[in-house]
Amino acid sequence: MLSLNRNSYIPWLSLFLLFISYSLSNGIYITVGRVTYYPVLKSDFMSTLLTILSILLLTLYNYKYAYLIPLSLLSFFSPSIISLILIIPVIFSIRRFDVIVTIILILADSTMLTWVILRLLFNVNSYFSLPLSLFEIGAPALIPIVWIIGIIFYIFPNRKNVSTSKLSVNIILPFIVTLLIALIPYMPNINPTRFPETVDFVYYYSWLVHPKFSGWFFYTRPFYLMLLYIFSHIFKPYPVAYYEFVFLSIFYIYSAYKLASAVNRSIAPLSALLASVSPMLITFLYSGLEANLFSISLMFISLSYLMRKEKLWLAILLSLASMFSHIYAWAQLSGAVIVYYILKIILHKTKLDKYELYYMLFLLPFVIIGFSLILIGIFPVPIQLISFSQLVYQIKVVSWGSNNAFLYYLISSYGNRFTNKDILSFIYSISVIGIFFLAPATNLIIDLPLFIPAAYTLNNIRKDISSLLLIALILWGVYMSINSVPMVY
Amino acid sequence: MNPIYLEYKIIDNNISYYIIYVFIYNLSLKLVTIYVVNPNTHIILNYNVSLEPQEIFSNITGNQTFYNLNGNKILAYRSKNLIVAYNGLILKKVTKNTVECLVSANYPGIGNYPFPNLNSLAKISIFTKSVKILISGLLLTFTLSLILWTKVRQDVKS
Repeated sequence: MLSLNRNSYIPWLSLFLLFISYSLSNGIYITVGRVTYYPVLKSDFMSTLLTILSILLLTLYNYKYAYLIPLSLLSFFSPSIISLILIIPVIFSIRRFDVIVTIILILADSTMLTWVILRLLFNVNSYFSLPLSLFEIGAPALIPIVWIIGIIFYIFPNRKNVSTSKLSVNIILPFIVTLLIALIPYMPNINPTRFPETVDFVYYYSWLVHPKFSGWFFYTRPFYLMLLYIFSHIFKPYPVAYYEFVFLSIFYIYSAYKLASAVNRSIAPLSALLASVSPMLITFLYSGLEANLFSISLMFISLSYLMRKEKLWLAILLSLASMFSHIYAWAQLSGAVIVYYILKIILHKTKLDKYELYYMLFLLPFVIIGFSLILIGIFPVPIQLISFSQLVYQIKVVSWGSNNAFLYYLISSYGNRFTNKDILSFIYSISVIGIFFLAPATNLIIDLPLFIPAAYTLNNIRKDISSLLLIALILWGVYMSINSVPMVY
Repeated sequence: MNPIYLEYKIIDNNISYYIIYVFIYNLSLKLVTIYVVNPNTHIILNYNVSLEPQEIFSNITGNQTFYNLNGNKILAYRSKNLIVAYNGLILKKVTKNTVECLVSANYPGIGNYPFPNLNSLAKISIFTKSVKILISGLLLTFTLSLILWTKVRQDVKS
């Protein structure tokens, strides 16, 4: 009888087919030229076909999986749910690594590279973006689950034999990639109409033209606006508002480097590189939120001093500057830090050292005042329970689907197993829990330093896979950056 | 998932275009994605806003009438220049040179139609259909795959 025994590529192939089948059953929400197109490539028929094919392959590999065949036939009723259920036994059928993973990643990378070349040379949107898109934006419903699994990895870590120097990156590279991603939307052949790429450009520009030192807009970000105000006197208001994002993103990458080097110096360049192509920075590129980006960058530097226990007063000062730059982002990060230390005192009965004590005591009143201002509604926040389907819909649509980056979240969530700094993992966990209680849920995710666990993952898997994944993530960043500009047909 | 949306067709001095409101948090007007689709210039614009209630709602009452939405009759009020559904949603608005009317919706009490296909509405195709591009792309993909393959193999051996 026909049997494909001992071919370890079969379970992997089944897994990929099922994943594609799941993507096709829902259709993908693809962003092209700053427009999110609703379900593209939706095909229940193809999805059903792929599900059955994948299970038949698995059965030929090992006859004990024959029991899955009737289940796969049920996909005629609901292809998306059945393919999702079938992914679980298929994952457990995988025994060892196979070279087919490398081949599939190479295909995804080379097609995306082809897309970028064709887009830049001929200004066309070709089909070659689809293979990587299927993996990156094909499964938005799995993203919240991946976030939650990240908390489980943090609770049950694996801190033995953690490698930190497998994938070394030159320190210059992250800054080049950031400049690439931030400057692509200004390139004349990509953006012939000089469309200002961030949404909030209008608000900052109109504030600089008619500065008003009161109102919600000013009170939530006075420090940042004053900084812009000074620059707008040196240069003109328009260039300041038009180019502010480039400088902010460089500052963000620098702060990412600082924060990562406080965790482990050898992963810092890779973390900074991952920050430059992260869905967080891409969301800022699409949506603006400039004060928020500035505020988290300040806070990352402050946290890096806190973790290294040096320059206490600078750390406190940076945290305060962050508060006056954007109170919401600051409240999320510093609130988590304070809760972390309080829990540490209560649960572990550890005594804080002098540095931690000063940092905490100095910031505690500000955190209390800040939170009470937010909770009593002077700085309103829409607090409400949001349903799972609403959350998934936000990931797909809000900010042009720039949060829809499955591979990135998968890598960074897995990395929580290896990170050795509890404080960052705690900030991560508390923010992930928070997304279900806050209406603008995805805004909590973009403030997190997800690039550090992602760098740990890439250092602790096979080298060929990690370099291909890194290329895939960089290409995705470039793809999203090119598509942040309206396309002229 | 079919999003909650309202699709208006606007005829402005013989030029017609479409405005689609997509509601992101249930029916809240706080965060709404607007698509402006112009089939004449093949342009789609897409941005997030918060709507003022008077932009899509009105609380007039008047004579009872039926509004025809894709063959589905909706009970509505008619006043001078407005047709408004029972839940207050504006179905048709006539001003001097413009006529704005609802052509499709997925909205409670109005209709449950699938989301319109944006690219066919704007008369564009998202992906290029050029065969030349396809062939040159396939060749490029092949070359790049080989380069990556040799590079990665070296990585594993070293």
